[in-house]
Amino acid sequence: MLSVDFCGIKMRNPTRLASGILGVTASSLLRVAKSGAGAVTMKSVGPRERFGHNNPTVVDIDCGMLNAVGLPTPGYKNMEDEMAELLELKKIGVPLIASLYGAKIGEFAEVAAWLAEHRPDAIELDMSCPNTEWGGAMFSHSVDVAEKLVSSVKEVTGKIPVIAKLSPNTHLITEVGVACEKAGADALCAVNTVSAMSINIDARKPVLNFRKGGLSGPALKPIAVRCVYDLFEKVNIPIIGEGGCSSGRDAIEFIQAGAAIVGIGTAVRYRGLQVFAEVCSEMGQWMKQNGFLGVKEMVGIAHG
Amino acid sequence: MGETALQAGAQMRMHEIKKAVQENDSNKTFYLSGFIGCEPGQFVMVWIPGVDEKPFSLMNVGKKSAINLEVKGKWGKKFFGLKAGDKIGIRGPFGKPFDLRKVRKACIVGGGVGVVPLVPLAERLKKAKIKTVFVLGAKAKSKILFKNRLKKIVSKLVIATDDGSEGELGFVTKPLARLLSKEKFDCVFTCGPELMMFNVFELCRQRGVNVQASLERFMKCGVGICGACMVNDQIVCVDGTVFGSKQLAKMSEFGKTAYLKSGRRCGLSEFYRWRSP
Repeated sequence: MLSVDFCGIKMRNPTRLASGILGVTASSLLRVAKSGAGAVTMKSVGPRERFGHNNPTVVDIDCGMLNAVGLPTPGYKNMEDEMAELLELKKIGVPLIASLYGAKIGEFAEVAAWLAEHRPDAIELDMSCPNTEWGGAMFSHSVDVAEKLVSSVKEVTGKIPVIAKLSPNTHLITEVGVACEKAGADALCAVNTVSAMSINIDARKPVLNFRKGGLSGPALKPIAVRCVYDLFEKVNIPIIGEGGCSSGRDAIEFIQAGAAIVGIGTAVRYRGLQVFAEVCSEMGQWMKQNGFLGVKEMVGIAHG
Repeated sequence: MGETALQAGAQMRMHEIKKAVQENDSNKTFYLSGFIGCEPGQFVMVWIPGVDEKPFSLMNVGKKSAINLEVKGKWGKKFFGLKAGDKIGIRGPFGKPFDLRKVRKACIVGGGVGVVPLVPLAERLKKAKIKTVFVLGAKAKSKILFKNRLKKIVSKLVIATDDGSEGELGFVTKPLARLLSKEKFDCVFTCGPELMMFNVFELCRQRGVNVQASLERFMKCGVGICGACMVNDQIVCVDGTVFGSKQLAKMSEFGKTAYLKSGRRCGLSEFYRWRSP
């Protein structure tokens, strides 16, 4: 009932581990896969080793979480071992989505070419991280830049589906999504985190070391649902609904807005690794009660 | 505001430094305002506003909470510059504590600042009337921590120093091997440099004695999502910090490798060089 075809990839259920959550090592990704996720996403791989920001990098707030980890990465040249260990995913039948970033378009293509050699099931472009000193979200704030980025990556990735992860920090999200589709993106992800800040008034300072960070969790959900809804009206490629999805009802809400599958990230913090299995069982229950036989039947039904 | 229990515990809260006590030539205990419930083996993230945030075991004495640390590194120096009245942030406690159930006779092995969570652990064991032998390791006499306090708590205190300036010459594993051949312990609790803990684990494994080790990795979130503190498929901040013999035996990375802040896997010696330059 829950299995889906996403860009030609067979998934046992429509949940995927969002990038940046338990995605640093092969063994953590394998554990998430064994916990029930339909697909797993690596933490974004960058062009060279980078340590990211000082702590605090991840903090709880009333309505969700804030993070500014700052795209740490071993750099793709240091990742052969992890990639080899990730082959284990094929044995358990859980697709691998490889996320990547660069500070320039050329760097995106450089990392993408290397990742493509390792044959992940899909490649996701982190073109919307709000937490870098070079302004990593700029790649999805301009139609021209997004189009150029996606087409230059598509040149080196062959048949591997490319997912463009979009920023909610722009009024142009729909236009950028359309531009990515035009440039050859096989799917979109909506959304990355919303740029935010939390100040500890007793310390008289922003809590995150980078001061600003990305808001995720329950507070992000209505924003993400709106973005998915708007994009669904304008594009024909599948959309990953992501941002605060924490329950079966949340997942179905994203799907009714137009998502083909959903990403789960911050909810791991609230519900543990069993969140994937629980969300799936909650979805199944709701679908049964409401007479739906498959996920596809529900995609976009809130429109019109 | 509708906070969940989990969220409430993990938000940043400020605590004032009440006083600092010098423990040895490079180590101080900072007593804090307000009580932070933290079981031995759990940890909190400690924030110096505008500087950095790092994981620490708390030393709770009665209803007072305290942080103990070495002057080492940029952060240690910053912390040692803090005075009574200055504020630091605390998130936590996080992780799972030592498990005292089914323990009738215990041995504790601690090295360096790894002794910090073991002092309140020894206090717990004493309260539960569990006979405890404590093996206390340090580089040298001047680096020994909490000797007088431990003397009053435990049944027997054995000291070992790397240079022999106090107690036995050499590592803690020497007296531990002797103790294990003479006495039967239900559990050996350990915290300290990872190689020491690995050797303690190996010694005990050969003799069929259970171990609980509190592991340390570079921490970011403390709540089990960032993936920075993995040891194999175990998330140290939520599955640990304390791991038992069965889990330790399955960890090929225990005593061998760790991940840097970048996520690059490296040998333990590179990891420690980076952690305390």
